[in-house]
Amino acid sequence: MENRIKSVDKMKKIVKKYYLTAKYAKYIGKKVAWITSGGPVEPLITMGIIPVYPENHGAMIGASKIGAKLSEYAENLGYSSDVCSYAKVDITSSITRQSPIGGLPKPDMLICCNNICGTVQKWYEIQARKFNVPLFIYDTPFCHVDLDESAKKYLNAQTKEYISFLEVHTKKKFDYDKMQEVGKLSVKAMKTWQAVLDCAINKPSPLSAFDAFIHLVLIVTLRGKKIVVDYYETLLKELKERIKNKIGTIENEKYRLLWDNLPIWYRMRWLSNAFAKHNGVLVADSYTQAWCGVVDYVDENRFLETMGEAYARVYLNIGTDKMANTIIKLIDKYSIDGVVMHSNRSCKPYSFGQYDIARIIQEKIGTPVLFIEADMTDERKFSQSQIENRIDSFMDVLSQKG
Amino acid sequence: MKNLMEKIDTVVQNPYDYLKNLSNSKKIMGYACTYAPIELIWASGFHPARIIGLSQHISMSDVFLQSYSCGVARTLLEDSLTKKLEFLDSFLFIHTCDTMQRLSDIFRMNLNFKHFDLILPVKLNTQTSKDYFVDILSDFKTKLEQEQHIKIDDDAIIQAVKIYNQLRKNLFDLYTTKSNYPFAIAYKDLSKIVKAAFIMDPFEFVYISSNLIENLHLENSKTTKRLMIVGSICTHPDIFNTIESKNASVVWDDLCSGTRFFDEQVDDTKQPLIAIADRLLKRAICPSKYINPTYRLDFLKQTIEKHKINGVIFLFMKFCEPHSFDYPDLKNLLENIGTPSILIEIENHNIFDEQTKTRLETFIEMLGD
Ligand code: SF4
Ligand code: SF4
Repeated sequence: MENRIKSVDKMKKIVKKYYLTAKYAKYIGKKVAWITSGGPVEPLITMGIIPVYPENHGAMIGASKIGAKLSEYAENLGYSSDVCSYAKVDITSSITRQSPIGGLPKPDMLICCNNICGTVQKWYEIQARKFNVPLFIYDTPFCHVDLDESAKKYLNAQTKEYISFLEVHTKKKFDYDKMQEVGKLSVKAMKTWQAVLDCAINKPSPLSAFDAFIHLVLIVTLRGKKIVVDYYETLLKELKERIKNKIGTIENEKYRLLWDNLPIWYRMRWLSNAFAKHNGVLVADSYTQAWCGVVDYVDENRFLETMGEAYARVYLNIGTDKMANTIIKLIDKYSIDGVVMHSNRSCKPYSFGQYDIARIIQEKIGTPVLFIEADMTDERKFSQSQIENRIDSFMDVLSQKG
Repeated sequence: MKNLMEKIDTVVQNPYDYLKNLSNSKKIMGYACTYAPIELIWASGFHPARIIGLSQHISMSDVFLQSYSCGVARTLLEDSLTKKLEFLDSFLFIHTCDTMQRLSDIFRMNLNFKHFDLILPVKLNTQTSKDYFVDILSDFKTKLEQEQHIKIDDDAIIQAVKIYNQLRKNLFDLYTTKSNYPFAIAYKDLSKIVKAAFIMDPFEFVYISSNLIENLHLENSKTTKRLMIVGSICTHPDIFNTIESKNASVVWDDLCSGTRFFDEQVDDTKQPLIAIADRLLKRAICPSKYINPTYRLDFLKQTIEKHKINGVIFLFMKFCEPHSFDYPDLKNLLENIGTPSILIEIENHNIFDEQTKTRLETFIEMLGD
């Protein structure tokens, strides 16, 4: 394991401290808000509210390989076996407290932004009933082709609503000066995160998509805090060092692959090895890019006024053809030889449309695409031998291509 | 009555033939969801037709859409890809669930219909979302004007509002009659009538349905188990036959192929776009929309009380997230208020298997007399 990224230990400490603070929030006089992964967290940070991410918690549950067990529990309550497993494991964990961190701290409020899916709306309604806490929905009109002026107006009006909601539920005035600072830090974090991901342009790549998945946690959860920028700068330094010394993530990086959709949390190492066996590395992915892909739409000096549009333009809230264009750009940028599409039974907005994306990729640039059908946390939906066979044949195709 | 139902039957059995015929005189805009502002579409010179896929076998749509998508999306796509919908000029997608959202892209990118998206707000409980609702209706009006090279004035929309209000009123009257006199009309027929309303010229529909209402026999003699169906789309006549042949009546529903289509009226004295938005905001919501976290529970409870429901049939499409997320809390609510319920999941709304039939029959028997 000499190839391991060393900064990760530091990150683990930050995450541990963050969860501890969230757990004891009420003892330090802080409020806790549950928020969706694509949600506007910066106003919460500005208000000193601790944001907690059930989806991140879902990822931890998935990585600890208890996703199937927790999903099953929810199914016994009547939830369908076909709905998003993040929602199910969260619903279960909030009842049984099962999870690697003993469950999430109880929310004082829920902030749901539907820029990733409509599932979160239903999920947060369930939790709003369970915990009997206020729910704010930040409704981001979908951009099939573009974002109309009416939608922009609606988004900006909601930003104001959001702030009033926070003021009412914390009984505190919103600090616009602080918001400026948080906004700047958020933009800086996004840019630094992009720089981290861009290290994968190098050959060999000093990090894999699996490393990116692991390091994603900070940009998701604490965007707007200085510690995030500091950490990613440290990581960047280490990665640059690795680039200088030509340290890759596997011995002999030959095929550079791109991952689409959420990770399969419970089989990360297995997947990594399955590709490495053929000298393949997943160097980039469409998922972790989502947290920096819209940075150009944000004006750090007018963060509140511009964040609505940026949040509405995130990867999962745009038309399939635009997603295809994004992927094609990534293929070019990271010199990708093959694309691995995780057709994720949990995540319909990410998965439906993938067939079109694959077709567009083939037509425009001819990069081979592999489909793996699974689920990000529910290991019952992972058929190992079948997937292994598919990976082997796909890598054969790549090797024949030269 | 028989003749009138025959006409309805003909339309419902061959909805595409009816529309094909109509397309000779009028451009047809298909839509999939009951949130479509049909009055505005009508006023622009299009005939709005709600399309519910008819395919029983899915093959071509598998090239575009994973098999874990709902039957509503798959059959609609299948019908389009197999060229059954060639009579359509345009298709309108309304922002509802994740599946429809992606299906819209598939249509836009792969099919030849003129494509429209109407991105309605998801939350319907704030002034900002109401303002946005009116704004996008107005944007949509502009797009229709450009497409049709006309100016749509308020009077034209008000005329459309009047005829569609009448259409909704007739449906509501029929449903109310069914609730008050469960044997006056079979739910199988009622369901067909709603389905015909999705398709037909509204004037023709109003004429037929008004006659139907006049010809109903209101007898109130027998008792029956009063059931309600909750879900998205259910149009399968066999399901209703199975239920109603067992001394039970479906006296109400909360389906988008039922009451959610005609709930509430448009105020024809108000500025029409505001009035259309108002109706869509105050009608019973579908689970992909949001008013407050307990709305769907409160609504079910009130409907059960109002229509004296003895049992609830949840009839969901497999893979439908919005409905299935609501289910456990709805089921618990029903347990608390002592109303029995059954959940039936169907893969394709055009196929009804023996096992489902048996389950339904057992449920109804279990309700006692
Ligand atoms: S996995 Fe997909 S469906 Fe589930 S919460 Fe995330 S974006 Fe939504
Ligand atoms: S059945 Fe459910 S998933 Fe399918 S289109 Fe309707 S709401 Fe969407």
